[in-house]
Amino acid sequence: MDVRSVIDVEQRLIQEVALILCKEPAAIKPDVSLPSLGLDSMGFVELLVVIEKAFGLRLIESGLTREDFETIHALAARISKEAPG
Amino acid sequence: MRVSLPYSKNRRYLTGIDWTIGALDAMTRRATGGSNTFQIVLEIKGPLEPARFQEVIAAFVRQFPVLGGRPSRDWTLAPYWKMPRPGSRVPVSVEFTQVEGQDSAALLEESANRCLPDRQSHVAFRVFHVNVSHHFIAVQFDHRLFDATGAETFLGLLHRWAIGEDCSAQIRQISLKEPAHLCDWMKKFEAGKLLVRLLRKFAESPLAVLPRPAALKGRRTRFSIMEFSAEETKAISMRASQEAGFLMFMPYTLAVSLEALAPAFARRGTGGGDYLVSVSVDLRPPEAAPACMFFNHVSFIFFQIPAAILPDRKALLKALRLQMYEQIQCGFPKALYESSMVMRILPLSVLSRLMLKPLRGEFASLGFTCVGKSGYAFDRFMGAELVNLIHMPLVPVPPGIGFFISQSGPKMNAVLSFVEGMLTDEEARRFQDDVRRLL
Repeated sequence: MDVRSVIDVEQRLIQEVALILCKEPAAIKPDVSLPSLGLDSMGFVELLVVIEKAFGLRLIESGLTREDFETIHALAARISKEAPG
Repeated sequence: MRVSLPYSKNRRYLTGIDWTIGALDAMTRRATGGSNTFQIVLEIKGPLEPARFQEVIAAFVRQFPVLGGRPSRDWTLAPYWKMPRPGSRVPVSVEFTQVEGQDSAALLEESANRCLPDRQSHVAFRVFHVNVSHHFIAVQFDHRLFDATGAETFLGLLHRWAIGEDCSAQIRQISLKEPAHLCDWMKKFEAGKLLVRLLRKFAESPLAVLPRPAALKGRRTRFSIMEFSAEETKAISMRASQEAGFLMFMPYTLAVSLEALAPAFARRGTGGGDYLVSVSVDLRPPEAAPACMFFNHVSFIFFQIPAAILPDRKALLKALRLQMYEQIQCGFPKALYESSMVMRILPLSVLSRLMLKPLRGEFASLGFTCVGKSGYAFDRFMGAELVNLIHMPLVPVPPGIGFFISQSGPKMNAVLSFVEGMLTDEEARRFQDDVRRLL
Protein backbone atom coordinates (compact mmCIF):
# COMPACT_ATOMS: atom_id res chain seq x y z
CA MET A 1 0.00 0.00 0.00
CA ASP A 2 1.64 3.25 -1.06
CA VAL A 3 -1.29 5.62 -0.99
CA ARG A 4 -0.97 7.48 2.31
CA SER A 5 -1.13 11.24 1.92
CA VAL A 6 -4.39 12.82 3.10
CA ILE A 7 -5.11 14.06 -0.42
CA ASP A 8 -4.60 10.63 -1.97
CA VAL A 9 -6.77 8.96 0.67
CA GLU A 10 -9.39 11.67 0.19
CA GLN A 11 -9.47 11.08 -3.57
CA ARG A 12 -9.92 7.35 -3.04
CA LEU A 13 -12.74 7.94 -0.54
CA ILE A 14 -14.48 10.32 -2.94
CA GLN A 15 -14.43 7.60 -5.60
CA GLU A 16 -15.84 5.03 -3.16
CA VAL A 17 -18.58 7.28 -1.76
CA ALA A 18 -19.57 8.18 -5.32
CA LEU A 19 -19.85 4.47 -6.13
CA ILE A 20 -21.98 3.76 -3.06
CA LEU A 21 -24.31 6.68 -3.78
CA CYS A 22 -24.29 6.17 -7.58
CA LYS A 23 -23.19 9.78 -8.08
CA GLU A 24 -20.46 11.41 -10.12
CA PRO A 25 -17.24 11.87 -8.07
CA ALA A 26 -17.43 15.61 -8.87
CA ALA A 27 -20.65 15.77 -6.84
CA ILE A 28 -18.92 14.48 -3.70
CA LYS A 29 -17.44 17.34 -1.67
CA PRO A 30 -14.90 16.28 0.99
CA ASP A 31 -15.99 18.94 3.48
CA VAL A 32 -19.70 18.16 3.35
CA SER A 33 -20.97 15.85 6.11
CA LEU A 34 -21.58 12.23 5.07
CA PRO A 35 -25.31 12.31 5.99
CA SER A 36 -25.73 15.46 3.89
CA LEU A 37 -24.16 13.60 0.98
CA GLY A 38 -26.87 10.96 1.42
CA LEU A 39 -25.10 8.22 3.40
CA ASP A 40 -27.17 6.34 5.99
CA SER A 41 -26.17 3.53 8.38
CA MET A 42 -25.96 0.93 5.60
CA GLY A 43 -24.03 3.14 3.19
CA PHE A 44 -21.64 4.14 5.96
CA VAL A 45 -20.94 0.51 6.83
CA GLU A 46 -20.34 -0.19 3.13
CA LEU A 47 -17.74 2.57 3.22
CA LEU A 48 -16.09 1.08 6.32
CA VAL A 49 -15.87 -2.29 4.53
CA VAL A 50 -14.16 -0.61 1.57
CA ILE A 51 -11.74 1.15 3.95
CA GLU A 52 -10.71 -2.18 5.48
CA LYS A 53 -10.12 -3.63 2.02
CA ALA A 54 -8.21 -0.63 0.70
CA PHE A 55 -6.28 0.54 3.75
CA GLY A 56 -6.23 -2.43 6.12
CA LEU A 57 -8.09 -0.55 8.88
CA ARG A 58 -11.04 -2.18 10.64
CA LEU A 59 -12.75 0.96 11.87
CA ILE A 60 -16.10 -0.63 12.81
CA GLU A 61 -14.55 -1.68 16.12
CA SER A 62 -13.32 1.85 16.87
CA GLY A 63 -15.45 4.42 18.66
CA LEU A 64 -16.93 5.80 15.37
CA THR A 65 -16.82 9.31 16.81
CA ARG A 66 -18.50 12.12 14.91
CA GLU A 67 -15.26 14.17 14.82
CA ASP A 68 -13.34 11.45 12.97
CA PHE A 69 -16.09 10.41 10.58
CA GLU A 70 -18.24 13.45 9.87
CA THR A 71 -16.67 14.35 6.54
CA ILE A 72 -14.50 12.64 3.94
CA HIS A 73 -11.73 15.07 4.82
CA ALA A 74 -11.80 14.13 8.53
CA LEU A 75 -11.94 10.45 7.67
CA ALA A 76 -9.00 10.77 5.26
CA ALA A 77 -6.94 12.46 7.97
CA ARG A 78 -7.61 9.60 10.38
CA ILE A 79 -6.85 6.92 7.80
CA SER A 80 -3.61 8.52 6.69
CA LYS A 81 -2.52 8.70 10.35
CA GLU A 82 -3.44 5.12 11.27
CA ALA A 83 -3.16 2.99 8.14
CA PRO A 84 -0.29 0.50 8.23
CA GLY A 85 2.79 1.48 6.20
CA MET B 1 -26.47 -20.40 -20.89
CA ARG B 2 -27.70 -16.89 -21.43
CA VAL B 3 -31.27 -16.48 -22.56
CA SER B 4 -31.95 -13.03 -23.92
CA LEU B 5 -35.52 -11.94 -23.94
CA PRO B 6 -36.86 -8.78 -25.47
CA TYR B 7 -38.47 -6.40 -23.02
CA SER B 8 -42.14 -6.28 -23.64
CA LYS B 9 -44.29 -3.24 -23.26
CA ASN B 10 -47.07 -5.05 -21.48
CA ARG B 11 -44.96 -6.74 -18.84
CA ARG B 12 -42.50 -5.89 -16.12
CA TYR B 13 -40.58 -8.91 -14.90
CA LEU B 14 -40.69 -9.41 -11.16
CA THR B 15 -37.45 -9.77 -9.23
CA GLY B 16 -36.92 -12.46 -6.62
CA ILE B 17 -37.59 -9.88 -3.90
CA ASP B 18 -40.91 -8.89 -5.53
CA TRP B 19 -41.80 -12.60 -5.56
CA THR B 20 -40.73 -12.98 -1.91
CA ILE B 21 -42.98 -10.04 -0.94
CA GLY B 22 -45.75 -11.86 -2.81
CA ALA B 23 -44.99 -15.00 -0.77
CA LEU B 24 -45.26 -12.96 2.46
CA ASP B 25 -48.68 -11.84 1.17
CA ALA B 26 -49.67 -15.51 0.63
CA MET B 27 -48.36 -16.42 4.10
CA THR B 28 -50.40 -13.66 5.73
CA ARG B 29 -53.58 -14.50 3.78
CA ARG B 30 -53.26 -18.12 4.93
CA ALA B 31 -52.66 -17.18 8.57
CA THR B 32 -55.03 -14.30 9.23
CA GLY B 33 -56.98 -13.75 6.02
CA GLY B 34 -55.39 -10.27 5.77
CA SER B 35 -52.89 -9.23 3.14
CA ASN B 36 -49.46 -7.70 2.80
CA THR B 37 -50.50 -4.06 2.57
CA PHE B 38 -49.38 -0.94 4.37
CA GLN B 39 -50.99 2.39 5.02
CA ILE B 40 -49.42 5.84 4.99
CA VAL B 41 -51.37 8.50 6.87
CA LEU B 42 -50.98 12.17 5.99
CA GLU B 43 -52.34 14.40 8.73
CA ILE B 44 -53.06 17.81 7.25
CA LYS B 45 -54.35 21.14 8.53
CA GLY B 46 -56.08 23.31 5.96
CA PRO B 47 -58.83 23.04 3.40
CA LEU B 48 -59.60 19.83 1.52
CA GLU B 49 -62.40 19.91 -0.99
CA PRO B 50 -63.65 16.34 -1.69
CA ALA B 51 -64.74 16.89 -5.30
CA ARG B 52 -61.43 18.44 -6.26
CA PHE B 53 -59.47 15.79 -4.34
CA GLN B 54 -61.32 13.02 -6.17
CA GLU B 55 -60.75 14.74 -9.51
CA VAL B 56 -57.01 15.14 -8.85
CA ILE B 57 -56.59 11.49 -7.80
CA ALA B 58 -58.50 10.25 -10.86
CA ALA B 59 -56.36 12.32 -13.25
CA PHE B 60 -53.13 11.44 -11.44
CA VAL B 61 -53.58 7.66 -11.38
CA ARG B 62 -54.43 7.67 -15.11
CA GLN B 63 -50.71 8.46 -15.63
CA PHE B 64 -49.81 5.05 -14.20
CA PRO B 65 -51.46 2.11 -15.96
CA VAL B 66 -49.17 -0.13 -13.87
CA LEU B 67 -51.66 0.45 -11.01
CA GLY B 68 -54.18 -1.64 -12.92
CA GLY B 69 -51.83 -4.59 -13.48
CA ARG B 70 -51.64 -8.06 -11.96
CA PRO B 71 -49.02 -10.79 -11.54
CA SER B 72 -48.71 -13.41 -14.26
CA ARG B 73 -46.17 -15.95 -15.51
CA ASP B 74 -44.16 -16.18 -18.70
CA TRP B 75 -43.54 -19.27 -20.86
CA THR B 76 -40.00 -19.17 -19.42
CA LEU B 77 -41.62 -19.44 -15.95
CA ALA B 78 -40.37 -15.95 -15.06
CA PRO B 79 -43.16 -14.14 -13.18
CA TYR B 80 -44.09 -10.69 -14.39
CA TRP B 81 -46.51 -7.85 -13.72
CA LYS B 82 -48.98 -7.74 -16.57
CA MET B 83 -49.79 -4.19 -17.60
CA PRO B 84 -53.38 -3.48 -18.63
CA ARG B 85 -54.20 -2.47 -22.19
CA PRO B 86 -53.70 1.25 -22.95
CA GLY B 87 -56.78 3.22 -22.00
CA SER B 88 -57.95 0.66 -19.43
CA ARG B 89 -59.51 1.98 -16.25
CA VAL B 90 -57.13 2.21 -13.28
CA PRO B 91 -59.08 0.98 -10.24
CA VAL B 92 -58.42 3.35 -7.33
CA SER B 93 -61.10 4.06 -4.77
CA VAL B 94 -61.47 7.33 -2.85
CA GLU B 95 -63.72 7.51 0.22
CA PHE B 96 -64.64 10.40 2.51
CA THR B 97 -65.86 10.08 6.09
CA GLN B 98 -66.79 12.71 8.69
CA VAL B 99 -65.20 11.69 11.99
CA GLU B 100 -65.61 14.71 14.24
CA GLY B 101 -65.41 13.71 17.89
CA GLN B 102 -64.32 10.13 17.12
CA ASP B 103 -61.10 8.41 18.16
CA SER B 104 -58.81 9.01 15.16
CA ALA B 105 -56.28 6.35 16.22
CA ALA B 106 -58.99 3.68 16.25
CA LEU B 107 -60.35 4.83 12.87
CA LEU B 108 -56.90 4.73 11.28
CA GLU B 109 -56.24 1.29 12.74
CA GLU B 110 -59.54 0.03 11.33
CA SER B 111 -58.64 1.55 7.95
CA ALA B 112 -55.18 -0.09 7.90
CA ASN B 113 -56.82 -3.45 8.52
CA ARG B 114 -59.32 -3.17 5.69
CA CYS B 115 -58.63 -5.14 2.53
CA LEU B 116 -58.18 -3.26 -0.72
CA PRO B 117 -61.60 -2.95 -2.40
CA ASP B 118 -60.96 -5.82 -4.83
CA ARG B 119 -58.20 -8.02 -6.26
CA GLN B 120 -57.62 -5.54 -9.11
CA SER B 121 -56.97 -2.58 -6.77
CA HIS B 122 -53.47 -1.83 -5.51
CA VAL B 123 -54.00 1.62 -3.94
CA ALA B 124 -56.96 3.07 -2.00
CA PHE B 125 -57.49 6.55 -0.55
CA ARG B 126 -59.62 7.16 2.55
CA VAL B 127 -60.10 10.70 3.79
CA PHE B 128 -61.24 11.28 7.37
CA HIS B 129 -62.51 14.81 8.00
CA VAL B 130 -62.07 15.78 11.65
CA ASN B 131 -63.34 19.29 10.83
CA VAL B 132 -63.14 21.70 7.89
CA SER B 133 -59.46 22.34 8.46
CA HIS B 134 -58.17 19.07 9.91
CA HIS B 135 -58.03 15.82 7.94
CA PHE B 136 -56.33 12.44 7.88
CA ILE B 137 -55.65 11.00 4.43
CA ALA B 138 -55.02 7.27 4.76
CA VAL B 139 -53.50 5.76 1.63
CA GLN B 140 -53.37 1.99 1.52
CA PHE B 141 -50.73 0.41 -0.71
CA ASP B 142 -50.33 -3.12 -2.03
CA HIS B 143 -46.81 -4.12 -0.93
CA ARG B 144 -46.37 -6.12 -4.13
CA LEU B 145 -46.34 -2.86 -6.07
CA PHE B 146 -44.80 -0.40 -3.61
CA ASP B 147 -42.18 -0.42 -0.89
CA ALA B 148 -42.11 2.27 1.82
CA THR B 149 -39.81 4.70 -0.01
CA GLY B 150 -41.61 4.13 -3.32
CA ALA B 151 -44.96 4.93 -1.70
CA GLU B 152 -43.60 8.14 -0.13
CA THR B 153 -42.21 9.14 -3.53
CA PHE B 154 -45.59 8.41 -5.15
CA LEU B 155 -47.30 10.73 -2.64
CA GLY B 156 -44.66 13.42 -3.26
CA LEU B 157 -45.36 13.25 -6.98
CA LEU B 158 -49.11 13.41 -6.30
CA HIS B 159 -48.60 16.59 -4.26
CA ARG B 160 -46.57 18.22 -7.04
CA TRP B 161 -49.19 17.17 -9.61
CA ALA B 162 -52.01 18.55 -7.46
CA ILE B 163 -50.45 21.99 -7.08
CA GLY B 164 -50.02 22.24 -10.83
CA GLU B 165 -46.30 21.56 -11.23
CA ASP B 166 -45.16 20.05 -14.51
CA CYS B 167 -44.31 16.47 -13.52
CA SER B 168 -44.02 15.08 -17.04
CA ALA B 169 -40.23 14.74 -16.90
CA GLN B 170 -40.33 12.74 -13.67
CA ILE B 171 -43.18 10.57 -14.90
CA ARG B 172 -41.24 9.80 -18.10
CA GLN B 173 -38.20 8.95 -15.99
CA ILE B 174 -40.03 6.20 -14.05
CA SER B 175 -38.57 2.87 -15.03
CA LEU B 176 -40.92 -0.05 -15.54
CA LYS B 177 -38.30 -2.19 -17.22
CA GLU B 178 -36.70 -5.16 -15.56
CA PRO B 179 -34.89 -7.98 -17.34
CA ALA B 180 -36.16 -11.53 -16.86
CA HIS B 181 -32.96 -12.40 -14.95
CA LEU B 182 -32.65 -15.75 -16.68
CA CYS B 183 -28.87 -15.71 -16.88
CA ASP B 184 -25.80 -16.02 -14.62
CA TRP B 185 -27.25 -19.10 -12.93
CA MET B 186 -23.94 -20.05 -11.28
CA LYS B 187 -23.79 -16.64 -9.63
CA LYS B 188 -27.34 -17.10 -8.34
CA PHE B 189 -26.59 -20.58 -6.97
CA GLU B 190 -23.38 -19.35 -5.29
CA ALA B 191 -25.40 -16.54 -3.69
CA GLY B 192 -27.91 -19.18 -2.57
CA LYS B 193 -25.14 -21.13 -0.81
CA LEU B 194 -24.26 -18.05 1.24
CA LEU B 195 -27.91 -17.66 2.22
CA VAL B 196 -28.24 -21.33 3.23
CA ARG B 197 -25.04 -21.14 5.33
CA LEU B 198 -26.42 -18.19 7.25
CA LEU B 199 -29.86 -19.77 7.74
CA ARG B 200 -28.21 -22.95 9.09
CA LYS B 201 -26.27 -20.84 11.57
CA PHE B 202 -29.48 -19.12 12.72
CA ALA B 203 -31.18 -22.51 13.14
CA GLU B 204 -28.49 -23.79 15.55
CA SER B 205 -29.98 -21.94 18.54
CA PRO B 206 -33.59 -21.86 19.70
CA LEU B 207 -35.41 -18.78 18.43
CA ALA B 208 -37.16 -16.34 20.78
CA VAL B 209 -40.66 -15.85 19.39
CA LEU B 210 -43.84 -14.45 20.84
CA PRO B 211 -46.52 -17.15 20.71
CA ARG B 212 -49.31 -16.32 18.32
CA PRO B 213 -52.94 -17.00 19.32
CA ALA B 214 -54.21 -20.43 18.20
CA ALA B 215 -57.07 -19.01 16.13
CA LEU B 216 -55.51 -16.37 13.87
CA LYS B 217 -58.16 -16.12 11.18
CA GLY B 218 -59.80 -12.72 11.11
CA ARG B 219 -57.45 -11.24 13.69
CA ARG B 220 -56.57 -7.63 12.98
CA THR B 221 -53.24 -5.90 13.36
CA ARG B 222 -52.93 -3.52 16.31
CA PHE B 223 -50.78 -0.38 16.15
CA SER B 224 -48.94 1.54 18.79
CA ILE B 225 -47.85 4.89 17.34
CA MET B 226 -45.14 7.04 18.91
CA GLU B 227 -44.63 10.55 17.55
CA PHE B 228 -41.49 12.50 18.43
CA SER B 229 -41.11 16.26 18.08
CA ALA B 230 -38.26 17.81 16.07
CA GLU B 231 -36.39 18.58 19.33
CA GLU B 232 -36.86 15.04 20.66
CA THR B 233 -35.73 13.60 17.32
CA LYS B 234 -32.60 15.73 17.33
CA ALA B 235 -31.76 14.65 20.87
CA ILE B 236 -32.29 10.96 19.98
CA SER B 237 -30.02 11.35 16.97
CA MET B 238 -27.30 12.87 19.18
CA ARG B 239 -27.59 10.06 21.73
CA ALA B 240 -27.48 7.46 18.93
CA SER B 241 -24.28 9.02 17.65
CA GLN B 242 -22.68 9.13 21.12
CA GLU B 243 -23.70 5.63 22.20
CA ALA B 244 -23.75 3.60 19.01
CA GLY B 245 -21.39 5.64 16.84
CA PHE B 246 -21.64 8.11 14.02
CA LEU B 247 -24.47 7.27 11.57
CA MET B 248 -25.50 4.27 13.69
CA PHE B 249 -29.09 5.44 14.12
CA MET B 250 -30.58 2.18 12.83
CA PRO B 251 -28.63 -0.12 15.21
CA TYR B 252 -29.39 2.24 18.09
CA THR B 253 -33.16 2.25 17.53
CA LEU B 254 -33.13 -1.50 16.97
CA ALA B 255 -31.27 -2.01 20.27
CA VAL B 256 -33.87 0.07 22.10
CA SER B 257 -36.80 -1.80 20.53
CA LEU B 258 -35.29 -5.16 21.54
CA GLU B 259 -34.70 -3.98 25.11
CA ALA B 260 -38.27 -2.69 25.32
CA LEU B 261 -39.81 -5.87 23.90
CA ALA B 262 -37.72 -8.36 25.90
CA PRO B 263 -39.96 -8.27 29.02
CA ALA B 264 -42.98 -9.42 26.95
CA PHE B 265 -40.96 -12.35 25.58
CA ALA B 266 -39.70 -13.21 29.08
CA ARG B 267 -43.22 -13.17 30.56
CA ARG B 268 -44.20 -15.86 28.06
CA GLY B 269 -41.12 -17.93 28.83
CA THR B 270 -39.79 -17.57 25.28
CA GLY B 271 -37.13 -14.97 25.91
CA GLY B 272 -34.27 -17.37 26.57
CA GLY B 273 -33.37 -18.10 22.95
CA ASP B 274 -31.77 -15.91 20.33
CA TYR B 275 -33.65 -12.92 18.99
CA LEU B 276 -33.58 -13.02 15.21
CA VAL B 277 -34.52 -9.73 13.59
CA SER B 278 -35.07 -9.23 9.87
CA VAL B 279 -34.21 -5.69 8.80
CA SER B 280 -35.16 -4.39 5.39
CA VAL B 281 -32.40 -2.60 3.51
CA ASP B 282 -33.06 -0.17 0.66
CA LEU B 283 -30.90 -1.12 -2.34
CA ARG B 284 -31.71 2.11 -4.21
CA PRO B 285 -29.28 4.99 -4.09
CA PRO B 286 -31.21 8.07 -2.82
CA GLU B 287 -31.23 9.76 -6.24
CA ALA B 288 -32.78 6.69 -7.88
CA ALA B 289 -35.97 6.71 -5.76
CA PRO B 290 -38.08 8.79 -8.19
CA ALA B 291 -37.25 6.48 -11.11
CA CYS B 292 -37.71 3.32 -9.01
CA MET B 293 -41.05 4.27 -7.46
CA PHE B 294 -42.92 1.06 -8.25
CA PHE B 295 -42.17 -2.47 -7.02
CA ASN B 296 -39.74 -3.48 -4.29
CA HIS B 297 -36.13 -2.37 -4.28
CA VAL B 298 -35.12 -3.76 -0.92
CA SER B 299 -33.24 -6.70 0.52
CA PHE B 300 -32.75 -7.87 4.09
CA ILE B 301 -30.08 -8.36 6.69
CA PHE B 302 -30.59 -10.47 9.80
CA PHE B 303 -29.39 -9.87 13.33
CA GLN B 304 -29.08 -12.79 15.74
CA ILE B 305 -28.89 -11.55 19.32
CA PRO B 306 -28.51 -13.89 22.31
CA ALA B 307 -30.96 -12.95 25.06
CA ALA B 308 -28.11 -12.84 27.58
CA ILE B 309 -26.60 -9.67 26.09
CA LEU B 310 -29.85 -7.66 25.95
CA PRO B 311 -29.39 -6.03 29.37
CA ASP B 312 -25.92 -4.78 28.37
CA ARG B 313 -26.54 -1.89 25.94
CA LYS B 314 -22.85 -1.56 25.06
CA ALA B 315 -22.49 -5.26 24.20
CA LEU B 316 -25.78 -5.21 22.30
CA LEU B 317 -24.74 -2.26 20.16
CA LYS B 318 -21.36 -3.83 19.48
CA ALA B 319 -23.00 -7.08 18.37
CA LEU B 320 -25.42 -5.22 16.08
CA ARG B 321 -22.63 -3.15 14.52
CA LEU B 322 -20.41 -6.17 13.94
CA GLN B 323 -23.17 -8.31 12.44
CA MET B 324 -24.18 -5.51 10.11
CA TYR B 325 -20.53 -5.09 9.09
CA GLU B 326 -19.97 -8.81 8.52
CA GLN B 327 -23.13 -9.23 6.44
CA ILE B 328 -22.30 -6.25 4.25
CA GLN B 329 -18.69 -7.44 3.97
CA CYS B 330 -19.77 -10.86 2.69
CA GLY B 331 -22.33 -9.23 0.38
CA PHE B 332 -25.35 -10.81 2.07
CA PRO B 333 -28.07 -8.28 1.06
CA LYS B 334 -27.06 -8.52 -2.61
CA ALA B 335 -26.66 -12.32 -2.37
CA LEU B 336 -30.19 -12.61 -0.98
CA TYR B 337 -31.49 -10.40 -3.79
CA GLU B 338 -29.63 -12.51 -6.38
CA SER B 339 -30.45 -15.95 -4.99
CA SER B 340 -34.15 -15.14 -4.60
CA MET B 341 -34.34 -14.97 -8.42
CA VAL B 342 -34.05 -18.78 -8.50
CA MET B 343 -37.05 -19.16 -6.18
CA ARG B 344 -39.36 -17.43 -8.66
CA ILE B 345 -40.05 -20.79 -10.26
CA LEU B 346 -42.10 -21.75 -7.18
CA PRO B 347 -45.76 -20.84 -6.89
CA LEU B 348 -46.36 -18.35 -4.07
CA SER B 349 -48.20 -20.90 -1.92
CA VAL B 350 -45.19 -23.27 -2.08
CA LEU B 351 -42.57 -20.56 -1.64
CA SER B 352 -44.37 -19.13 1.40
CA ARG B 353 -44.22 -22.60 3.07
CA LEU B 354 -40.61 -23.23 2.00
CA MET B 355 -39.45 -19.92 3.47
CA LEU B 356 -40.48 -21.18 6.93
CA LYS B 357 -38.64 -24.52 6.66
CA PRO B 358 -35.13 -23.52 7.81
CA LEU B 359 -36.37 -22.02 11.09
CA ARG B 360 -38.98 -24.70 11.82
CA GLY B 361 -42.09 -22.72 10.96
CA GLU B 362 -40.78 -19.32 12.00
CA PHE B 363 -39.34 -16.41 10.05
CA ALA B 364 -37.91 -14.08 12.72
CA SER B 365 -38.60 -12.82 16.25
CA LEU B 366 -39.34 -9.34 14.95
CA GLY B 367 -39.45 -7.43 11.66
CA PHE B 368 -37.68 -4.07 11.77
CA THR B 369 -37.54 -1.21 9.29
CA CYS B 370 -35.82 2.14 9.59
CA VAL B 371 -36.62 4.26 6.54
CA GLY B 372 -33.75 6.67 5.99
CA LYS B 373 -34.34 9.92 4.15
CA SER B 374 -38.05 10.33 3.48
CA GLY B 375 -39.22 10.10 -0.12
CA TYR B 376 -41.76 12.83 0.75
CA ALA B 377 -39.79 16.08 0.86
CA PHE B 378 -42.58 18.65 1.38
CA ASP B 379 -44.09 20.34 4.41
CA ARG B 380 -47.42 20.79 2.64
CA PHE B 381 -49.86 18.47 0.91
CA MET B 382 -52.15 19.80 -1.80
CA GLY B 383 -52.32 23.30 -0.36
CA ALA B 384 -52.64 22.28 3.30
CA GLU B 385 -50.02 22.14 6.05
CA LEU B 386 -48.59 18.64 6.50
CA VAL B 387 -48.61 17.97 10.24
CA ASN B 388 -47.31 14.41 10.09
CA LEU B 389 -46.72 11.45 7.79
CA ILE B 390 -47.05 8.10 9.54
CA HIS B 391 -46.49 4.58 8.24
CA MET B 392 -48.82 1.86 9.48
CA PRO B 393 -47.57 -1.42 8.02
CA LEU B 394 -49.32 -4.76 8.48
CA VAL B 395 -46.58 -7.19 9.48
CA PRO B 396 -46.57 -10.54 7.68
CA VAL B 397 -47.44 -13.58 9.79
CA PRO B 398 -45.06 -15.00 10.95
CA PRO B 399 -43.54 -13.16 12.80
CA GLY B 400 -46.70 -11.04 13.23
CA ILE B 401 -44.84 -8.28 15.06
CA GLY B 402 -42.74 -5.45 13.69
CA PHE B 403 -41.26 -2.09 14.58
CA PHE B 404 -41.11 0.65 12.00
CA ILE B 405 -39.18 3.94 12.17
CA SER B 406 -39.63 6.74 9.67
CA GLN B 407 -39.05 10.46 9.33
CA SER B 408 -41.58 13.16 8.60
CA GLY B 409 -39.55 16.32 7.98
CA PRO B 410 -37.50 16.91 11.15
CA LYS B 411 -39.75 14.59 13.20
CA MET B 412 -39.47 10.87 13.82
CA ASN B 413 -42.32 8.39 14.13
CA ALA B 414 -42.00 4.91 15.59
CA VAL B 415 -44.78 2.39 15.08
CA LEU B 416 -45.15 -1.02 16.70
CA SER B 417 -47.56 -3.29 14.85
CA PHE B 418 -48.60 -6.73 16.03
CA VAL B 419 -51.30 -9.29 15.45
CA GLU B 420 -54.10 -8.87 17.98
CA GLY B 421 -53.50 -11.08 20.98
CA MET B 422 -49.72 -11.30 20.71
CA LEU B 423 -49.34 -8.44 23.20
CA THR B 424 -51.86 -7.14 25.72
CA ASP B 425 -52.89 -3.47 25.66
CA GLU B 426 -50.95 -3.00 28.89
CA GLU B 427 -47.79 -4.50 27.30
CA ALA B 428 -48.13 -2.27 24.24
CA ARG B 429 -48.48 0.76 26.53
CA ARG B 430 -45.47 -0.32 28.57
CA PHE B 431 -43.48 -0.83 25.35
CA GLN B 432 -44.27 2.76 24.33
CA ASP B 433 -43.17 4.09 27.71
CA ASP B 434 -39.97 2.03 27.64
CA VAL B 435 -39.07 3.10 24.09
CA ARG B 436 -39.50 6.77 25.04
CA ARG B 437 -37.43 6.26 28.20
CA LEU B 438 -34.68 4.23 26.51
CA LEU B 439 -34.30 6.36 23.37
